[in-house]
Amino acid sequence: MKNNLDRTIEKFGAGKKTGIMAHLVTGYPTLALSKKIAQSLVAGGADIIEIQVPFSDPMADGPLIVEACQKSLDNGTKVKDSFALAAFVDKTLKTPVVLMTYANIVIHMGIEKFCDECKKHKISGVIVPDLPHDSKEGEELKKQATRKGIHLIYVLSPAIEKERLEKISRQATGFLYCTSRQGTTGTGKRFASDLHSYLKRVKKSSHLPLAVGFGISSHKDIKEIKPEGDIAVIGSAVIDLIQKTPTQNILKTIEKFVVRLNQ
Amino acid sequence: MKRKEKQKNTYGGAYVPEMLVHALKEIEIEFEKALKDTQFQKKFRELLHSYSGRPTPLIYAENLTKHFGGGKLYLKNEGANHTGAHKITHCLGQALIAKRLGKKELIAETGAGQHGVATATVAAKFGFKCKIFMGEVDIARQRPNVFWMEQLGAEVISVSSGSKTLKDAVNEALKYWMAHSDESYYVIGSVLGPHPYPEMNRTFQSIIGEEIREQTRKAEKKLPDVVVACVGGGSNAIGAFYDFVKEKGVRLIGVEAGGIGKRVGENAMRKENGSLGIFQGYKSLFLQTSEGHIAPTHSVAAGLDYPGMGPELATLFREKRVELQSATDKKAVEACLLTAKYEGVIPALESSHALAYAYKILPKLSKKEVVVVNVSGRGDKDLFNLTRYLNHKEFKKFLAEEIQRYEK
Repeated sequence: MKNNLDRTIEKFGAGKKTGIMAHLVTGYPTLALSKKIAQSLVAGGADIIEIQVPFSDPMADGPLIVEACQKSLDNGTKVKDSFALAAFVDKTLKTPVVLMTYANIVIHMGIEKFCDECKKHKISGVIVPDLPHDSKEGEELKKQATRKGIHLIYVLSPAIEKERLEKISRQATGFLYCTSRQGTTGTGKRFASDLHSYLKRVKKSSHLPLAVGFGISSHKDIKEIKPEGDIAVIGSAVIDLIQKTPTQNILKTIEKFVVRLNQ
Repeated sequence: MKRKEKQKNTYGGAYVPEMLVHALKEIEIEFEKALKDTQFQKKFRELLHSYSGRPTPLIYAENLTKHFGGGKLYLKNEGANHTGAHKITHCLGQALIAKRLGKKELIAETGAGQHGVATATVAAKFGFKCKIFMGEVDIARQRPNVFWMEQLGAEVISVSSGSKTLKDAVNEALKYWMAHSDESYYVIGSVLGPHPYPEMNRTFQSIIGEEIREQTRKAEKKLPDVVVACVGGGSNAIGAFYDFVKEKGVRLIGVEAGGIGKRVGENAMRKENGSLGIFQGYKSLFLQTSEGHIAPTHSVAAGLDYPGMGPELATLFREKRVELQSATDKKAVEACLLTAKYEGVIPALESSHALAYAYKILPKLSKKEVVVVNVSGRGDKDLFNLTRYLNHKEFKKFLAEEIQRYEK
């Protein structure tokens, strides 16, 4: 069964355009602005919105996202706020949502309930970077998500071994998220020197589109991942803009930024 | 047991981003090889003897035994180890594994600074580069250890995210490792983190229990009736307990940080307030908020100020093989001073929690019963913390005068 994400990917697929998945942290800088930031991202041309449920200890994230999560939690953001934001993005902005969070948030809520909430709030895909595909909870999340028509998006990295890559590729749906290097999220760092051979390796193992993330912040970066990358993930770059821009200019700046990425 | 089976059956597992899977697998394979390698075992034991000073003494605490008038008290003095605590043991073991893997750099996190000093020490001995991640708050309160880490050649990296304490230092060390696992080896400082670390560190630390068994048998012609140890992450506790897990007649008691109150944020009592969670690469009992965020903790002992517990210890608690109790900051400080006064042993504030609980139960035990408290480290490092806690006027005056002397 196709969900909103599949339909969107079909639109920009077949090598025509590199899609953009833009990331935001719910409640950063405020809950009210999160909604408007999503609007600006979509207005600028983002194809998919990745909503991060803030967690106290985001292990795979660099300092910008860690700080954004902390500020959001300090503002009192709750898990349910991310679900509400997702429903808004899907329904009002007609843009598919991929929800990203960490394992403890999911298991604390209960895997089944988490998936029920995702379905209820029209979430198309889920990313949980610290929940391996072969863990008990990872398998359960896959089962529950599939049952509810939600893609469980797996994150791959350049060090992944052949056997593991093939195993993950076999059970993956939606798209595969490839990090451009070892390390955490963040702007201004170089891609892995073997980026293209690694992406080619992943491409060979799966028919799914490849999203490439970590360190992408310009049109040039997107061009660089273009031969293999179908979706560019823009994460810390957006947080960086929010941090650097006076509040009254944030929305326009973000929209322009995404427009430029697309040019 | 393979990684997947472990995750299915119990606490533990390896809940890490994909980019760490390769590095962990590499360590798992090497550790398994090392376990079967008699040369490795020989080298490890030899280092424990000639470098760390093992076996550490089991001291009959005659004065305290008389003072409490109940069970017979022994102190397993892990503070007699090189660098002042049991931590050096798993650092030596892991440094040998890192060497086998051809790594160039050791990285570690530290709270009180003891694990940082131990890692910096083995890095110096084996010729590794060394980076120690430490929370900004811990750096401020444990400056002497920072000084020594630097003199040992380590770079101490101040962590300013989150609560700026141990858990944040672990997060940053893990992140650094994710980006540098080719050349770096992460020396995890307790029996926690992703598989194989809990098992590996427990294996190295189980020497404590082996020695307790032998030494108690020699002194008392029997096994101890009770073994007590403090529990932060749990390395000294599982080390002391492991050899007795199958000896059902030996009571194993872990003592957590009771802090200043019963509410979340005022202590580190996973027994009372902890719940199942996945954090920093492993599944165990964690202090959490109602939304599943990791909750703040408090303890007068920096080494107990941590929200999680080693998975093997959590499993033994679930199976009711290990009892968990707690001692407040106040009781721990009292126990520390009492032990110093009566026995001439200055225990670390962490270990003082175990002592505090032992002092509670000793009067209720019979004279035949033997209690061994694992004094995981010595208290020199707590000089500043302790004097601050006691609001020691003379020491405060000394510090002020020392600054003036320093300025001259």
